[in-house]
Amino acid sequence: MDIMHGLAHYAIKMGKISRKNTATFGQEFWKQIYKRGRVDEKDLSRRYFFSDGIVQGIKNALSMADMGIIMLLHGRMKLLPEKPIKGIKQLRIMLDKAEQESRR
Amino acid sequence: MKYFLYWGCSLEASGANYLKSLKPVCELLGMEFEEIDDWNCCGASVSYAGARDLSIRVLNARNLALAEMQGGYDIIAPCSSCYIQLIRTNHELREDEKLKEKVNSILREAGLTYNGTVNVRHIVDVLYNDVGIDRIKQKVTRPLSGLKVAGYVGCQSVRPYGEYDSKERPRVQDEILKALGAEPVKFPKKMQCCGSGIFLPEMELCMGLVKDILEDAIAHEAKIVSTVCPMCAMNLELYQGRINQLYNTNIQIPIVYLTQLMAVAFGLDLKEGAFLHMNYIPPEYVIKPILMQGGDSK
Repeated sequence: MDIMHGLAHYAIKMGKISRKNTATFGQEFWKQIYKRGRVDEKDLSRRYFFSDGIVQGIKNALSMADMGIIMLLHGRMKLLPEKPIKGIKQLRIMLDKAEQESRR
Repeated sequence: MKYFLYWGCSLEASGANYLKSLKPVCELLGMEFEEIDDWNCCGASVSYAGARDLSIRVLNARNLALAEMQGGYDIIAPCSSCYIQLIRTNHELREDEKLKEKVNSILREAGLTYNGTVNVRHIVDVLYNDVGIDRIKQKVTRPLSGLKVAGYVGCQSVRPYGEYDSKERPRVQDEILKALGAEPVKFPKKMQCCGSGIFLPEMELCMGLVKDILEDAIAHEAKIVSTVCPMCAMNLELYQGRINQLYNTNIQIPIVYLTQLMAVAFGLDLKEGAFLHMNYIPPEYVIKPILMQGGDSK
């Protein structure tokens, strides 16, 4: 495993928790997977930026607007929203069961 | 040579120039790809902060089970995060019978089972070991003679599962660069982490990592950096302006995918084959003079 994430996995196993921003980002990332089965990068960024409320969200989005424009102008941002995979309902059932098993 | 190409979420968006250059290059090399029907995200490198380990294993086992059911070809992951997630799950399910049974009991909810028969491989592994350096050399019509390239490996593709290369002194990407006629430079930070998927939430920390990597590449005379991971490419390329603002530096070096350099060397169009116009820091100003020296200005 790469150093940063290897250490992160180890720290979580030892009962530590991620720093707030990383934890929020990770949770938003996982919500994307649960919602669609795939990650929509622009939607993930938007949800992460606005995770601390509208005012902070606008500030965050404006501070990163240049990056968004660069990605858009260079064809590296999907314009349309990501559609859910065909097996999304079954995937959610599996992830729910995995979550239950993990809690036992 | 038929494979499943598991390109993952990033190669459809921020890493689109990777996928677009990879396909024609691999086609020229005689590789045939199928898509795993209805694949899902691998969880990437940040999922640990949002989900439990078993959930991440199930997520990846679903892709492995679908691949096994749909033909069982080797899965090629061009993204290092996808690669490490898939291969880690594959290793664990092959080695731990109890975990495999637990995961399969969950997969059965969707009528799936995974028997552990599919191999997961990084694109660099396949290019080096299946296609081979000789075949790559045969396809070079525009050698990148004199182009000094920092072949950035990053930290996810060879550690700990990438058995195709040395975990301490990886050389496979450099061997491919040499086959293209380029000059790979030695730089100590070729395996230092770039921050991967947590760049956005830990930006200041990660900008320091990227600054060190790029300054190291430049100090060792690289004129361009090649990568084999969409997260590495995005972090190394798009944040250079912010790094310069934060550290009062003047870093500007193009970041390209290895497959983009292969496309150039194979004689493909710089725009329609190598997709260099999709890079933010234009690689053309480094690549075109090299091509003109060789008598090709296309």
